[in-house]
Amino acid sequence: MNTWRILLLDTKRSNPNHYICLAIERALSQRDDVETVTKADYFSAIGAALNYRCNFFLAFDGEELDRNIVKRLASVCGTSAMWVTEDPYELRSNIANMDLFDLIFTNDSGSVAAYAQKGRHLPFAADPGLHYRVIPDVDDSQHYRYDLFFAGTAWPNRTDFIRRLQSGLKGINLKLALPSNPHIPPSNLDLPASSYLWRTPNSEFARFANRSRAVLTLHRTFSSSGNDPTAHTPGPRLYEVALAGGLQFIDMSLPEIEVTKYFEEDVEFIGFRSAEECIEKLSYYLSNAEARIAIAKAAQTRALAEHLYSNRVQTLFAEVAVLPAKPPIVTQRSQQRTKILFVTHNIVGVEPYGGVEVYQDLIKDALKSDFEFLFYVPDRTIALFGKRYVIYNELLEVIEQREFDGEIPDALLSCPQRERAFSEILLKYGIKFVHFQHLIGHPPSLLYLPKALGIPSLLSLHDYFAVCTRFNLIGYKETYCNIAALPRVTCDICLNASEGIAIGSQAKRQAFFGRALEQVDVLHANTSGVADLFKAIYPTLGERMRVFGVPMPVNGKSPNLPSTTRFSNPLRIAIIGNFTKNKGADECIHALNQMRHDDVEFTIFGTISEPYSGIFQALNIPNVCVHGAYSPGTLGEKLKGFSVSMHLSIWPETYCITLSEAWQAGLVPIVSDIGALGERVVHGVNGFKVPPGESGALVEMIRALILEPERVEAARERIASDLYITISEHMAWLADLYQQLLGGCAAVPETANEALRGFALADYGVMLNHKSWKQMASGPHVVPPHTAVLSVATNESSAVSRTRGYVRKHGLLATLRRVLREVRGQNHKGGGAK
Amino acid sequence: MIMKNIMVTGASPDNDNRNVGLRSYVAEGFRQLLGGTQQIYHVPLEHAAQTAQRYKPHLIVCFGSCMPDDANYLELRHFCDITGSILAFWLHDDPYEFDFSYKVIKVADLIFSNDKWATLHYDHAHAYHLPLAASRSAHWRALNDAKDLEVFFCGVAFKNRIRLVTDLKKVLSKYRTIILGDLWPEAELAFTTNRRLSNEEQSDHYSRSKLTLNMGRDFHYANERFKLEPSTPGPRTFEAGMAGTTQLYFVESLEIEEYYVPDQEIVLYDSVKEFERKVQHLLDDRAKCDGIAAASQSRTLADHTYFNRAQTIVDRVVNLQLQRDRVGMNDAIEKLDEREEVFSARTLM
Repeated sequence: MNTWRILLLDTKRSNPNHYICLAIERALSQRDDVETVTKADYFSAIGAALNYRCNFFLAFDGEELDRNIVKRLASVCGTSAMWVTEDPYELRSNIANMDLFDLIFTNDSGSVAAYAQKGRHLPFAADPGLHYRVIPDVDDSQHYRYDLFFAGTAWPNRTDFIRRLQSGLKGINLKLALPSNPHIPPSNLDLPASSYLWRTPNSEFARFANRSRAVLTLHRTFSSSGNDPTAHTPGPRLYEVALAGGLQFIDMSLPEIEVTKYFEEDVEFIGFRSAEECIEKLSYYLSNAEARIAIAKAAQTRALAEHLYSNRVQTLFAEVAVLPAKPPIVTQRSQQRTKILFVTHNIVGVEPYGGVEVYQDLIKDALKSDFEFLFYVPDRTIALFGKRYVIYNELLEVIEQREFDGEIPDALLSCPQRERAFSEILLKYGIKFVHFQHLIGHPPSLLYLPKALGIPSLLSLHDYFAVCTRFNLIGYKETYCNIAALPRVTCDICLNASEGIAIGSQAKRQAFFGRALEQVDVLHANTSGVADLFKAIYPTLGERMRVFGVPMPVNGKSPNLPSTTRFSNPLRIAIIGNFTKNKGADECIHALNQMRHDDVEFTIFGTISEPYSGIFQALNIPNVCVHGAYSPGTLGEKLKGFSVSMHLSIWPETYCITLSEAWQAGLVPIVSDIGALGERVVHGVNGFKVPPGESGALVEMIRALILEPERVEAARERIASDLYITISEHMAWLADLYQQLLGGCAAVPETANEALRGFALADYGVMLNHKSWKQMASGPHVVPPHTAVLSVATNESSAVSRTRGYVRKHGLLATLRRVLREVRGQNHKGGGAK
Repeated sequence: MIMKNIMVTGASPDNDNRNVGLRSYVAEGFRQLLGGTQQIYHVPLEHAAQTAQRYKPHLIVCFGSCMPDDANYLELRHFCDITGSILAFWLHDDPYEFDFSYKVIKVADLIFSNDKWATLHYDHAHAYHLPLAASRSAHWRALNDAKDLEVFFCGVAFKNRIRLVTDLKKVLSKYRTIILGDLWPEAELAFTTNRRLSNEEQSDHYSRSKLTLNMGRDFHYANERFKLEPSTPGPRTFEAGMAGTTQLYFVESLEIEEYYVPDQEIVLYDSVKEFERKVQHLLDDRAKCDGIAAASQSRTLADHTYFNRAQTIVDRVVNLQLQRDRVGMNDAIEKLDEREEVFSARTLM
């Protein structure tokens, strides 16, 4: 006997008949030959099928079927069937999807032939848990609250019939629910609208049926889709009312509707062919309780014996069992390289770019023999950021562009248009893996989408964008906010003070990111400290967080690692990296100015932007040289002859590649004790640490090293190659991670030949009240004093200032002559004053 | 020792929660059930994780609506993962906000929904129906003869309510009828006034009224996934019952009979004519009308308090713990014994 592990999917996005799917789920799970039944939605289905190793996929309903996801599911599970419930009304669309399945079970016997060899008839049924109700033995007036009950959508044929019945039904207690919808004409019954314009759930429908002496069944002869308007097999209520113990009065005027195939007329239900006949028979049975109750009980007995979903499932498995056995899916190793999509904010060559872009490029080159990398990037060459997205191939050639209505708001959490475009891209290019490098310029909702298609994903945490829009975690006080150690209300204060954002906005952002991060298979942090910070905010990340450092742009373990003592008179210090505020420029300038006469030389490697270039010019510090920008990978050579490096970031760097480069070049680093810098350096062992943002401590540290250069040399001796990661080490780790994650999804096929139909979060049930996390505060809010940009204030006398200007304009000798003239004049004037 | 500490918190932060007051009733229910030997904490969701760290509750009940975007449960889930505590949700806006329930499916150990039909649709192994209730301290009013209102209702004028009240207009106009709330068409329905009442005032008005209308709601915020119709009567049903008024319930679901006995504890009607007849009869027969109000109050006190609901939650938690208990039958028996001790020692109202 086969043991089935079943994946059950309701194909319809919005399905009021989902209770039938629940009933089928219960019936399936009661079978001895069923090991597991997993009812899933579109987002979770492929993952669940893989997780539970499902070997049978049953699609329920058939309407609104997503072919791309369903095709993958059918392939993952092996054997598959669709149980359609809206034939003949949706026959055309169901036929269009029949190629995805081994068998089609249709609710309508008249539709079976349309599915050719695959077609099987499977009528609706009833569910004991939902529908069974006890029938009293006698006509108990406490039990029978109504004489006649009808509930159903106000299709025109039904309202016509009810209108005709109204005149003949006077004096009986009628309970009528005839709700309408915008697609059908209004029903103008001669009753107060409140008495029939109401709806009730299916469970209560059964209860109303049980509590009524008679239940009316009127078929539907209306189709809005242009298909055959009449189902040959009765709808689910035939079986539900029978199981609930209602005596059914069924419209038999349409001979093609096969009621008698399931229940016997006059024994298990009462049939009528006209309103007059209905009234006549109702009158008879309402006054003959014994006959009425006997028929209701007979119908209930028949329903219990033959018309439960367990009976239908039995039929279904009898058909599935005779299908030819499918061999287990063997993943053919493709001759083609596996396609990986980088979702990122920029690429190398598009200025300004930095470490993330270089890192992506390293991966692309290092792993190109096994993987083909594509890039999905907001186009930075146009003014409106996020209006256009570019797909680059591995040669960084543009292969496609996608346009949107406007730029992307920075607070957007979900964007249906961009989500649909992204999921289409995954399908179109046969993407097998998504590596999210950076989400700036993308809605974070993209994190949800790969999983729905069975595509594994990885998110690299290059900064703290997933924690805060201020992705360096520099708060409104222009210092590291240290949010992991502080109450969450701190974020409200910070965002309110810095950007006027309303209370609760950060909570919305983090609530969404928290759920979105749950969709990613692995998160990659460069250090355990970074991982811990993320886990402090999103504590359920747990084992999905992997820690591995990022490599330097040049391969090789230790080409520059010297063992010899370095020149230390004066001490030569390299300040590496772009000279910016977040890299500690303010504190550094204070320290350099303080040490302008010390026995030390500073050289700045990296771009100095304003205001710092102007400040350096004004300060004219004699022992500071500026090398300026350098190309990635060229630093090692330039650092020969330096003893010490400085890395003074005020934000918690997530790794700091320049620290690796300094170590590799044999420099002893002085770092601010924050983030990865503080984490990687052991004070006094392989470098030195100073408190972040403390210029005085930095000066003190450097002066101590000037006085005791042997401390530098002692630290240098302990610099070892295990302090940093090379390209080959990192790429071996990353390739292994890619393969691990791809292995879990190996059975998921590509569906590149399918028509592209992207999907958005809201399509499959992931709802948000507002697509943006940011709400601006409506009332007044406290704004801190603006932190002035660092500048140089002069306390020189106006004479000195004028003199300096004179030197610049006329030269030193001319100035000296002028000064002497001035002094003589001053003395003369002074003497006169006395 | 099981459930030494229980923490009741919001299913959403308090900054956007109009039903904060209800949470105190839930905490009150646990206090009444578990007596003085247990610690019951009652905190906003914003402070729940910190409070949990401090007091190490064995059970956390997130009560309310999970619809707001700032509702985040990951810290509580993590706390429960570490400690083995149970994280339960009691959601009180089903089915109107059902589409947002996806947010709790993955984090909840137990889910309680106010609506029975919606409960069936939770894709969760431990989803149970738990209607809202009434609080004796907040909603009870002394039965009295001095009822100066004949028909009363307070609530938002949803489309179905306007339709029903318009159909009943002729009857209602004959009596001292007051309908309060929001969005009522005052010009068309002279007995309506758009004025909100506090919870306390609402119970006072129930107590002042011989008859109170009980009307359902057809306004859904987020209920597209399964388009669920409500089956369980609204929360005011129990509050009105506790205040001692006779409720007239328009039948859209017969689940009402699971809570109150028709014609003894509540009055049901299906049509305008039936409404007219029953109102006339009840106002003519004051003893009958007062008797139904008294019976309704007694039934509410017996079966529909937050104490009763707390008991259901505790039972479910104990069952879940027993299911999870992998250390052997002896421990399970010990826990059952402890539960018996707890229940026998509880302070009844």
